[in-house]
Amino acid sequence: MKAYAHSPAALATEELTESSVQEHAALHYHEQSSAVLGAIVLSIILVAGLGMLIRRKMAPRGTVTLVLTALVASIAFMREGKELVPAAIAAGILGDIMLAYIPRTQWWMRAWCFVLPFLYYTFVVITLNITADFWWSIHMQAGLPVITGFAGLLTSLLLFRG
Amino acid sequence: MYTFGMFSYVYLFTSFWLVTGAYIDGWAHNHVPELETFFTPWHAVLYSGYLAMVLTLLLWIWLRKRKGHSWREAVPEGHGLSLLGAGVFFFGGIGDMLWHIAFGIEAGIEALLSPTHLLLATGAFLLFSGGARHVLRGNCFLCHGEELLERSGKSHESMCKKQLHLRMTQMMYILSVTFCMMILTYMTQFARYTQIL
Repeated sequence: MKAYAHSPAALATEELTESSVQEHAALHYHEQSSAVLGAIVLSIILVAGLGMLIRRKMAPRGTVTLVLTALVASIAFMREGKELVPAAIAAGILGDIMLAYIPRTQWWMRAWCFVLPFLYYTFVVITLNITADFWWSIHMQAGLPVITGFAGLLTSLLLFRG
Repeated sequence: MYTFGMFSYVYLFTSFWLVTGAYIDGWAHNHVPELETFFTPWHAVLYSGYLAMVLTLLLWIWLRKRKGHSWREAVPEGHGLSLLGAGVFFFGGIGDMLWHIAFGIEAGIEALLSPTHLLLATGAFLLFSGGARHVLRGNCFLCHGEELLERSGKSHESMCKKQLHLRMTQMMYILSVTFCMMILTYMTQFARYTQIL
């Protein structure tokens, strides 16, 4: 299991002083806010790109899986996070299945734009809990998929109008 | 015989080459310590991808011009902005080399906000989106729209109904949009400058 810097497991090996506790708290805050912002940005890019394809009727079966996996795998290759690729594939397959069965109406498409990032980040949180020492509190872990879902929903308001 | 279908396939392949080069270069910036020169194998992949892509486009335009077509007819529909992107990327590349010589190699988040890298990303985005723009204007991936119009007098979309052509046109659009999204995720990494997310 991976132990990340500033995680409880990593801190347990360190002798903490008052200043180092403050320093870790600041790092916690910045690391979490940066990760949440990144999740929101990725959700916006994902929904905007896929929304364009769907609107033009250019999204045959498998498109969601292909696009989501390509985005996550390329970032994983360049940085870290290869363990997130299966989460992307799973969310992509579910996204494709839903897309095949829901009516292409404005409200259904907006709902889909909420659900896709929500599903992906739910799988991400589950994956990180299984494979890594994921130290985020339950509030953060539960809220991450919801906030990314809202980012997708807001993006869909620009794509699926009237 | 350099057909429009060949042009499209090669353009798609070189798009993949360029985006792969960008990610390989990103990998090097993240994994190779003390990267202190512009002349790296990773930059070679990146810039050779760009060169291949631009040569593909210019060769098509040159061949059309030789057949006596006007500039407007010679540039494939939707690829006017790809030409602009090629120019932006070219000046971005030269600027990047000068920037590195003057100010050194960017480290970490700096590489995502350096002005010359932003120019390169803009150029790449315009190049990648060429295929999508071409399809969005009702063109086929494999046929040159104008030739079909000459033959049929009908709109291109109503003429080209071959299953393979429709599938490939769809694929061109999907991949073109995916490459654009990959450039956007690449350049917004500053928002996930953490270990995993």
